[in-house]
Formats: sequence, structure tokens, C-alpha cells
Amino acid sequence: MTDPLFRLLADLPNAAPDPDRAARVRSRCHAVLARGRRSHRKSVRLTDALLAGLGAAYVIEAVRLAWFFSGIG
Amino acid sequence: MSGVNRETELGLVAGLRDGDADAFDVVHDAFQTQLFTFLLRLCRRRDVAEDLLEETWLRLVKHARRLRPDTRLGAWLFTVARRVHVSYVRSRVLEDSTVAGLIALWPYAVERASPFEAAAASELQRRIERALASMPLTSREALLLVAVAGLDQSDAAAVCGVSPEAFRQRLSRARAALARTLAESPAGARVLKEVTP
Repeated sequence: MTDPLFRLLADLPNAAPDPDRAARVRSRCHAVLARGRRSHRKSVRLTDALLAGLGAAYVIEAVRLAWFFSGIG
Repeated sequence: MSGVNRETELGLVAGLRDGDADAFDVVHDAFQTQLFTFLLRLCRRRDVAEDLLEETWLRLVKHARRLRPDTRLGAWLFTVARRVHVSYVRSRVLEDSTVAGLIALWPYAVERASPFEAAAASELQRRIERALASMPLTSREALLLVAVAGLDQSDAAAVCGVSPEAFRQRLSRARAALARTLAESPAGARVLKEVTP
């Protein structure tokens, strides 16, 4: 920063929030992150199960149609 | 991001997207003081600044999974902090509209001192704090984002939601206004003469 007036501003004192409150906010944020992680895993598992179910239904239907058209069924 | 290179910052963004608490802690430690100082200089009340800071962090973790992989954390956090402050000001304007009418009838000006004035190390710093506190919000935030928080001008323009050119003009006007206010006192004028070429 080359501007001398900006340097004066940059030298102004900083302030820190109350440490107890900061610790509480941090742990609340950790909890939100953990909850998001769990729900993401859950939705991934559900999506995987849904995809597996749809895949199985598709294969069964394909096999059934193949049997039908080949005159085995 | 202050003191962290871009590669590390991208790693932290990836960590936040994965819900990594350690990545959050690093970001928290890097920006906590800067954000609080910024908010306190905007609203001038410790209790309010702490509420707004909490809201800023909560918005980060709630939004973490949807962060873009190339997010610039400084700009993102200051944008949210500023928006949270704007919402607060709007709600106060609604609440205070009746009270403001009554205060306007009072014959003496009602000024709220900046909480930084007591902590200022010198008379000059006190004058700067007073000058900052008396500036319009848009000018104050422009100076704070660039000179105090250390954002580059394009990031600061994005935080304020204006074009880089408009921000450059805003910053230049704010700087001139600050210099004018400081020059009004003999001590400020003396220091200005020393620091300006």
C-alpha cells in the first residue's frame, strides 16, 4: 500500500470479539458443518440405492422382454 | 486471503465444501479479527458487531457446500458481512423511524463516538477514528475494505456490488473527504503534511 493516508488507516488498532462468544460461535459452526456432512452422506446413500434399484428393474425388464421376443417365455 | 496463498485458499474452499471443521478453523482464525473490526467500524456498537459477525460465520457454514471451487474467501466473507450489516441498518431504520422524528426535534446534535477512539494509541488515531465515524457509510466502507482489510480494489468493488470504475471514484472521494476532515485540525494538518508528498 503506497498511499500514505491509507497507511495511516492500516495502522489503526484492530478489535477482537468476546473470546467466550467466539468459541460458542465456532462450535455452533462445527455442528452445522457436521450436520451438513451427515445429511450429504445420507442423500448420497439414498441416491445410490435409488440408482441401484432402477438399474436392477431395467435389467429385469430387459431380460423379460428378451425372453418374450425369443419365444422362451 | 491475508497471509495465505491462492493454492492454500483453494484447498480451504475444498475443505469447506466437504464440511471439514479444520478448514473452517483456519478461515475463522484468518478473518475473525478483520471481519469484526470492519463490522464494528460500520455499526459502532460491540454487541451489534458480535451479532453480525456470528451471522456471517453461520452463513458461511450453511452455504459451504454450495461455494464455488474458485471462491475468493476474503471477498465472499466481506460481501456477506456487508449484506448482514445492510439488513441490520434497514431493520433499524424501520424501528427507529418514529424515534428519529423525535430526536430531530432535539436542539443539539446527537453523535455516537466510535468504540475505537478509546483504544487509539495517539491523538492522530483518535482524529482518524472520529473522521471515519463521521463519514457516510458508503465512503467509510470503501476506505475500510481497501485500506484496513487490505482487499484489492476489484474485490472491494465486488463486495460493494459496484463496477471497479465506480468503486475507484467512490474511494477517491472518500479519501479526499478524510483528508479534508483531518486538515481541519492543526495536528491533523501537520501530520497530513508529513505523510503526503
